[in-house]
Amino acid sequence: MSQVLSPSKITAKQAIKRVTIGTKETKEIILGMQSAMPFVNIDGNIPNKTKIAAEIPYKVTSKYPHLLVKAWSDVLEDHCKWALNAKNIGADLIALRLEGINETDITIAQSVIETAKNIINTTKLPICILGQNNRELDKYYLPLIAAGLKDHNCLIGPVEEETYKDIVPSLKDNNHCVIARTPIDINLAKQLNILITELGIKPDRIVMDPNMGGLGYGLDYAYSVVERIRIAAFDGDTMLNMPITVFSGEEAWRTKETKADISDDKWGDHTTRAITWETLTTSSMIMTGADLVVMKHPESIKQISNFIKGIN
Amino acid sequence: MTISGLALFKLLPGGKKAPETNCKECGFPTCMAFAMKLAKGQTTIDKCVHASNEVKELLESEGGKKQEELTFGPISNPIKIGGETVLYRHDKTFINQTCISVQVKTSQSLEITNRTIEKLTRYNVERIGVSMSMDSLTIFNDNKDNNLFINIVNDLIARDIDKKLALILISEDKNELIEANNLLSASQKPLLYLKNASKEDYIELHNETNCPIAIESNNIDNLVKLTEELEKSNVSNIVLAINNDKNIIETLTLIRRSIINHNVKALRFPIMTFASDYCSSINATQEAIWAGTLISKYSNIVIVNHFDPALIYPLFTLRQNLFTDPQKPLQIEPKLYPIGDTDKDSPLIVTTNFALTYFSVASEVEASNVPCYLLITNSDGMSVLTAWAANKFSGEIIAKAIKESKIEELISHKNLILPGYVSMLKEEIEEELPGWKVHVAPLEAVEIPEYLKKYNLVKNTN
Repeated sequence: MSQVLSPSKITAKQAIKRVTIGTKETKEIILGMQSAMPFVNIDGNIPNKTKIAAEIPYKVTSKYPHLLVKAWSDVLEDHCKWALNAKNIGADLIALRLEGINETDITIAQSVIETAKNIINTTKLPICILGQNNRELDKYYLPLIAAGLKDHNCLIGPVEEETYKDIVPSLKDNNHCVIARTPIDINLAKQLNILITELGIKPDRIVMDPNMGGLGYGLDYAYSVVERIRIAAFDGDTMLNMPITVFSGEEAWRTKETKADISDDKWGDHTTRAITWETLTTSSMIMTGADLVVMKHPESIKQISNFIKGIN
Repeated sequence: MTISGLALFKLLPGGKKAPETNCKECGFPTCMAFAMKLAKGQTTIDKCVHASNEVKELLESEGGKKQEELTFGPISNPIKIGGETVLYRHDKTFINQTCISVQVKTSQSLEITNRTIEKLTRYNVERIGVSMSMDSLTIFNDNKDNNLFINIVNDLIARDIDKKLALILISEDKNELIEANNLLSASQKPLLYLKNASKEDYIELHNETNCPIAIESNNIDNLVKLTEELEKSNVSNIVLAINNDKNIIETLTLIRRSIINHNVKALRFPIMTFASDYCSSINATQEAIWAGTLISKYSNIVIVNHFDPALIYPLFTLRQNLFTDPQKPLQIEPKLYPIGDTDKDSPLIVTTNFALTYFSVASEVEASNVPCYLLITNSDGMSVLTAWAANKFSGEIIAKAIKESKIEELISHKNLILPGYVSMLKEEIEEELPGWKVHVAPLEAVEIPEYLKKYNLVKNTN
């Protein structure tokens, strides 16, 4: 190591907690454990690189971006094939998103549980169950699905201050990990972690979600909040040293730049731009320390997977 | 700044309980208030007429802990790089946007080179009211063809491109760089990067041209020795070129820490990196990811080989995001924003000019596929609830904004959608705007698409 640079090493007071998702029968994915800022290896250990979850909708609705429909066209009708394809291009987890569900219905919950089990059996990858960002539906479905997937050690959420009380007890009873979402604020993030652990779930079963904005749509706020959370964690805060996940795919695919079918001299080719939008939204959050990135387009997943493999 | 407001306060009259305590001559009510602003860099010590030498010296040594700022490019329109003072943007702010420079090589066909230069010179795109163009062009003589390199420079001059783009010239031939600079001397100061050079070469190049020079070395410790020796020879207009470092993020992070935390003067120069050092040259998307990474992590100049708006526009957007000042709530211009293909029946939504509020609402409206008019009022960049509490988002202000926007000429209805958090404003607005009906939206932006889908029903039954 350079003599001039080595005094700039910073030693963390503690590492990020280890969160394990999945079981021995599938594949266990470990998030966290690092004691250094991203890629600053001299500071400490970085045993686990950022993991990628491929987000698959339970139902493809008319709102599903048409570039994604095109990219996954061979597998749209079959969750398992879709998940296998995602695995083959570099996904470490499959994130099944409850999409296109408008009412509370026990048979739908049962169908989601079946689908999730099939995906686990086919891919042997750990699974993540994501709500619809609809508090009433999430409060209904997530506890039911958690019970149906008992002991599969899934990552389930996001839960918020408004929903955690209804969802977390079932996650605890059925041995899952939870995604704790707060609106881009370090203090609220800490508070929600405390509230969740007060319900009896262990801190090493929490993954934080800072509710990021996409590139050009408030990305800078989450970028700074995640950096601040990491600095506080390395400085010894035991209620902030959880791994962090970001929904970079979801946020990128909400933007005009990915959705609008515009190809011109200013914005460039639509497909290339959309993929770059998702990859840069993701890669910039990897630079802040995100442990799990949830992505959508197969080409973006490939690119980020290669990027993670290549960077030291 | 690493000195706290409290530490500064202790050295001011207030902290020493001197007779001049809270004299207010600095324009602040108390020494404490002044100290807090000083720590944030929002005022300067010369405002305090009673300041001791001790506090002045402390601030001076602290002020020296920053990166050197460097200017190069067209004399009429130079670009600034470096001058950074923090490790994290939330510590204060990043200052000078990373220069993104597209590289052409003499080994490429001249036709491709000319086409690339033509396209990137013309390129311009607007985002949140900011017009963005390419800053810079790099010309690399990678096949030692002297004529071709000079021909490209001559061609740039003939097309006036030397007056628009900051040039970075790379070659192994010192005389060629000197010649190119002589040709350009009327229009610009390029950054000159002499490859495989000795200390003496750098000094000679600098003395002959008086241009900023990029220097390289096989490791950081040798680079430090080199900058120290160059400074002894009065060469301090330096850029550090870091090539092909297998732990590039660590190296760049440690260099920035060395400047900010340890005041290592020999590393205080702006840094230049090549995105293509870290990925396959044919994978343009991978190069863009690396360019973004190098922008995030402390490179002041990033060289890319691909020019493609589909890559450059996202990179410009990322750069804009990272270099906004987090201390100033990002505001957008208060006015009427049509979203989608609006017509006279389109819903009208009102909210404040805090940028994040705007982007949250605008992106949800876009996602809903329901064309809407979004009326943004001036709330000094405050979010809805904060603005309401500060009386910056009231019935009167909203009514005035509606009149001034002339929305009444664009729509044939009188229905206004109000953010859920300020439902208490409903009656106030209806009083100010006779004939208008106010509808209260959900609390969260994410619920807007659902709300808009049912909005026509709500509107008609209300």
